[in-house]
Amino acid sequence: MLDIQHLTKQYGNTKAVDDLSLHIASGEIYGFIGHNGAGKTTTLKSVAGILPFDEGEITVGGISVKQDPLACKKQIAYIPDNPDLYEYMTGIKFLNFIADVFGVDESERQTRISTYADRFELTKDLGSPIASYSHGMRQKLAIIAAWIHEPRLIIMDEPFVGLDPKASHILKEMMRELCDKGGAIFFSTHVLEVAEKLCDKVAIIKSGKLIRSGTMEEVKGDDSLEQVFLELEG
Amino acid sequence: MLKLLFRKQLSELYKNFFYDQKTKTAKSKGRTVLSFVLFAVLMLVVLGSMFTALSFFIGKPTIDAGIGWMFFSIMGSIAILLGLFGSVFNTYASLYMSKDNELLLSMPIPVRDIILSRLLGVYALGFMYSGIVFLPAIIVYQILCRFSLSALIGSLLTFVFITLFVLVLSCLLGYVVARIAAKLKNKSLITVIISLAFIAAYYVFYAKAGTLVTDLVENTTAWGDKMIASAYPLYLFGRLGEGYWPGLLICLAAIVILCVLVYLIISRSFIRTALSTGRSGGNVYKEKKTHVRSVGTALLAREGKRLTSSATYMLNCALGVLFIPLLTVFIAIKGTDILSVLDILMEEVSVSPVILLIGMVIMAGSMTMTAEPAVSMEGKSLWLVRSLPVTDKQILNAKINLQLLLSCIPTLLYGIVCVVVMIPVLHPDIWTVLLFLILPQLANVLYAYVLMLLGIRYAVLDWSSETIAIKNNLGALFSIFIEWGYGIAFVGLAFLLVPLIGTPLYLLAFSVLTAVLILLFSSRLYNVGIKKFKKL
Repeated sequence: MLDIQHLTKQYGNTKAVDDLSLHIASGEIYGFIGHNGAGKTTTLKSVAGILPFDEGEITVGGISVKQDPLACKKQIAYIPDNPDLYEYMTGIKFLNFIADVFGVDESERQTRISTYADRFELTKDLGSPIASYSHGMRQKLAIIAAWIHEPRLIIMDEPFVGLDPKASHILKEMMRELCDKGGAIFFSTHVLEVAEKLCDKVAIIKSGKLIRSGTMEEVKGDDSLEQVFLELEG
Repeated sequence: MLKLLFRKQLSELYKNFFYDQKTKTAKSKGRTVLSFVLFAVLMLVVLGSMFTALSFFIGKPTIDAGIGWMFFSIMGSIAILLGLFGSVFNTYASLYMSKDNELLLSMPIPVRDIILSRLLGVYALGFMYSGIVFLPAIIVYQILCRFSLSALIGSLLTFVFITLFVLVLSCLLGYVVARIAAKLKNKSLITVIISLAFIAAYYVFYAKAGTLVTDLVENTTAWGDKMIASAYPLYLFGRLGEGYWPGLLICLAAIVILCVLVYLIISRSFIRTALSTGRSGGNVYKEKKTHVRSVGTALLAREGKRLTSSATYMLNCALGVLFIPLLTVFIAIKGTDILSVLDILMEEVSVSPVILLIGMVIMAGSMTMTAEPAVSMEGKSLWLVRSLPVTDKQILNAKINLQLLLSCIPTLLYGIVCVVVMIPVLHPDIWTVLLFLILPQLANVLYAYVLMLLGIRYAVLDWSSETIAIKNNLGALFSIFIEWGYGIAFVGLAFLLVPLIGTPLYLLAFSVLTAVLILLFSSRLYNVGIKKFKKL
């Protein structure tokens, strides 16, 4: 589903991501962990086609992000760590805008909006301006917007930040459901317990370089993910 | 602390003078100085010279009649009006709508300091606009009086009082708008209505000012007596300009009391108003039928929603939508009379009034400039549209299309009405009529591309107040002057060329030139502009 080969991204003389290679197959939830400034967001933004990169290749479903960014973006949904949404729109207008851009037809969008908004208990607030939403509500809206076109790959940067326990649980369910249907999830997190329980595979990045990746068992063995992470970071 | 906040506020206000958005580095001292000089020249030459002329016009008879105080009263009133006009629209946005209000309030900063630092920005704009009127008046007074030290000190103090008075009035209006907006669902609408009422009052005053000034110059003494009898504070205010010290004490006391009162009103409600989320209780969403849109329409609708959601955006960039139809109505009512007179007057220079009608609508077009701040208005949510399967060209085209929609339709209506009015009076040939309709539309297209390029070049994405993105940047300033320059060039060249080649050929030549410019600017936008946009 997602193939990253030798990704390198520099800011001036600093290498934010250095020769990073990863492969995420359909049906996988792939966790991405690393300390602050390790290069997680840069990698995720490069995959999402937001940030141009210097070297390497990223393909989504066999399509190159560099060669055909639009075709890639049609298969992707991206949720940043702090979603600055269009505050001037109401929740429903925002969802309709996203659905229009992705060409989701009327009946499908209504079913999905109603299903996901009900799950997150956001339905009654959809008529209010996003400016009036709390951080958690914005996060929920960004998640619904990401799911509205049933993407094949969802990229999320710290998706659990700001969500209450119930919403976190729903998100985890939705992630699993999407992967069961053949989709894939690539997300960063600092909550190692979540990564350990939820992810099929995990990658650890340090100073832009991938230092370990694989199935959860391959990465942590008999230790906890936290122990392994701290040892590697140390 | 206050000093620190002042510096933050000033650096935000004049960010573009110090910081290069393109390279994201600080500008060299030379470039900063050059930017300031350019800005000062534009303000002083264009507006300053106009008010210097007015000062001479009013100053001569009043000072000769020995009632110099009236000169200061009049110029002071104009300065207050212009200062208020320049700063009032910013007060609500910068005081209550700044994005960093929460951040600052979360820190150990006294609320008083936050309010005062915000007011500094409002004060700076009021100072600038009032200064353009009143500083030339001070100089003119000194020239006409052959220097008077007491008048110099008095008039400078008057200027300080004017700026403070402008601040007080701006704050009061901003406060009223904020209080009303907090209770309403559609905040931007009420702000626009209040502001438009204010603008209408301003234009009514402006329209009557010419007759008033002429009457005043002719009957100076009578007006002076009237003013003393019915507007004593204004008299006192004018006397201060001449160096009348008891007046100083009274004005000082009045302004101090006003400032304290306004400060108390604002500080008592600042936190509540600034942190109001506008969430309306009981506004439960009910599922409605949705309309599926194409990508282009969805992006255009997004731009439209962005515009209508912000009073500051609408008032600063879409006034043409209202002004050009008003101009059209004016032409429909008075056009025949005006054109008949103009036709006779302009016969001597062999230029058709058609040229003036086109020049007027081109210059009025500068009141519609939504495309310029459209990139900046994306702000921190630019990531969103970038993550969607749309091209940069589609994003920019949506911004251009909104600009064209807002400018072309009113211009076309204006054109049609003008044609209907001009045919029986001027008897234009078919080519003049056709080009009369086409040229302003071409100018609109050209302007849209220029605005888009300026918007990308001077994009500010990390603003904390919308006013920074909308008007406090060089792009906004250049936008107005470019359209005015184009309009003035069109009319100016007509006086040289129309007598030689005739109106239809001149219009055709200018249309061709505009079309060529459109090709050049659109090509630059879709090549260089898009590359720059990608890098933002």
